[in-house]
Amino acid sequence: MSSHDLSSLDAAGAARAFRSRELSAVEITRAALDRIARHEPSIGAFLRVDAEGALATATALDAALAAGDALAKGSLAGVVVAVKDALCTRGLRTTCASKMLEHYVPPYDAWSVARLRAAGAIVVGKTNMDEFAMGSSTENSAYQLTRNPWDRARTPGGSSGGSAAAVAARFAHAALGSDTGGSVRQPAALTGVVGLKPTWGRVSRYGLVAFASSLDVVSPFAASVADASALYEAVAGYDPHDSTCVDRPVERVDLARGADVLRGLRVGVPREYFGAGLDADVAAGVRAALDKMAAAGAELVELSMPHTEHAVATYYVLAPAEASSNLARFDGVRYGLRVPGDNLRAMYGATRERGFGPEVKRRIVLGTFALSAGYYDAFYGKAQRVRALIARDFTEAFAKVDVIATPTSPTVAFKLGERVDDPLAMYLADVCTLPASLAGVPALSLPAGLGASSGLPVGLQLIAPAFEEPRLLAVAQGVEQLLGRLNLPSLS
Amino acid sequence: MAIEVTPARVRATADLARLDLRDDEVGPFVGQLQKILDHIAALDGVDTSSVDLYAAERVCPLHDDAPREGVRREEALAQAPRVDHGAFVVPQFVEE
Repeated sequence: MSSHDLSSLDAAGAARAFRSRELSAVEITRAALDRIARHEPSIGAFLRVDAEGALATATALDAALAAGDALAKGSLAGVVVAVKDALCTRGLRTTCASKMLEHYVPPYDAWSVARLRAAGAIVVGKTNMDEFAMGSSTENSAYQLTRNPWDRARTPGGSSGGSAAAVAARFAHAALGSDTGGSVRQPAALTGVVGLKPTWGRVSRYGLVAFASSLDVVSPFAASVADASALYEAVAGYDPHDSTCVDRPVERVDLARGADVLRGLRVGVPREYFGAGLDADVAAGVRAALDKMAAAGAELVELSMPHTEHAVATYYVLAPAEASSNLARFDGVRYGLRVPGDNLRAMYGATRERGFGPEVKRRIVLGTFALSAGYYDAFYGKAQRVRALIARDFTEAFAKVDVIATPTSPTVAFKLGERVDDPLAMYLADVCTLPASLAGVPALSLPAGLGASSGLPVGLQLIAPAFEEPRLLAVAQGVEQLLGRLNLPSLS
Repeated sequence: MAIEVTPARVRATADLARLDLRDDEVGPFVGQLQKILDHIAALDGVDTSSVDLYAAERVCPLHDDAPREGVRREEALAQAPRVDHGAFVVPQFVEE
């Protein structure tokens, strides 16, 4: 198999090639590292490539295969994965794209990373992101820009833009990100790959640098629904380290029915997601996908989810409030940056001034304000109540339909620099993904072709009731079969 | 709730978060936070009278009170900016 063929492998193909001994894990890993060496300078997906660690894992996998050891039989054995720099990796620097954690080397692996390793995955590096996962374009990284492999003048989305770009550029077969308000689904849509946000509590947050704990979900990216499903099955499940991780069996995902699963499926189409502000390319792409689903036997049910319009305001009270509390730990005492001061207060203030970038500071101020005496009920309490109404919209919708279909992002990939001076405009990029985050239900973005005028990927979002990932993935697989997979850009 | 964002309010709120802000940061924050809070103010008009946040029965899972392996002391201290005798060191904050 030539190195050209290797770069066209997806995760399932890499696992198959390894198991059948057509390719060694070292050959697969070297092919990924070669491609990264050639094209990464023009993309900037990685904050750190761990060639040594990846090759050591690959060597161990090859030895395990020769010896018949269990590691070589893992579901992801031979699969190269990239990991968002918000997830702790033992012995491998984890910065969360912040100066605050520039030199932080975690003494442990995040639960999800440990699960990937146990399944035989090869971690090739840590990917760029918006600092502390706050952003929708990866431009808030303290270190570098990440460019969209489809058009390098455009953003890959965010906050997990590096992971999305790594999969779209075929630097890795799959990747992990984290999705708080759309941080996996939106970049998946903008880079033409699949991104799955599982139910909140389905995947352990242990070792994920906390942003907004009631919303954060460790989430996979992949080039196909089947690959995303394989990563999901590897990372989902109970972990006693995370008290909000749900102790409930992980149901097997069955993708065998293909597009047949759409026959008789009730698909809710909420009108609130198709209003003003939707790009013509996105509207046309999503509508064409819905028409094909209907032609394959799905019943499209028009719905109203009346509280959708309040999701952005609700999220931008609750997420900053939780962030202001979570980020209090970065005080220069136990780990991370310390800027000396004459007294403890001066040290805290100077450390946090120097360590955090502007968006993080903005959200800390916003969240602190929402929680401050005199404003707590009016902001935080009110937003919690509206959140309950948004969740109720989903409960009522799922009494009538099996899944909900919407655009993932109101626009295709926007230009780098276009929204950096207008935080509210950036926040509005998440308008389609925030409701499912606030309701805690699983949602997935998959490509719905390329926009007719932009030539850029359009994302279709599918949403299912809590813990119905098997249904969500089976439907997504059916839609993928109908629409066909996107040919990822060649980069040459 | 209509809120007027002023430089003094931004500084006072940042102070609650033990966050120093540079002068050149405060100016842009005033306008940006004003715009965001104006957007958030729309929540005032949402009828939430049917929501009782405390009605849902939630079960808080408890762990067995048993020792288990965690991060070792030396590993935890290895990331600290300053340590002495197995402890984190901070500027003096108790007067002699």
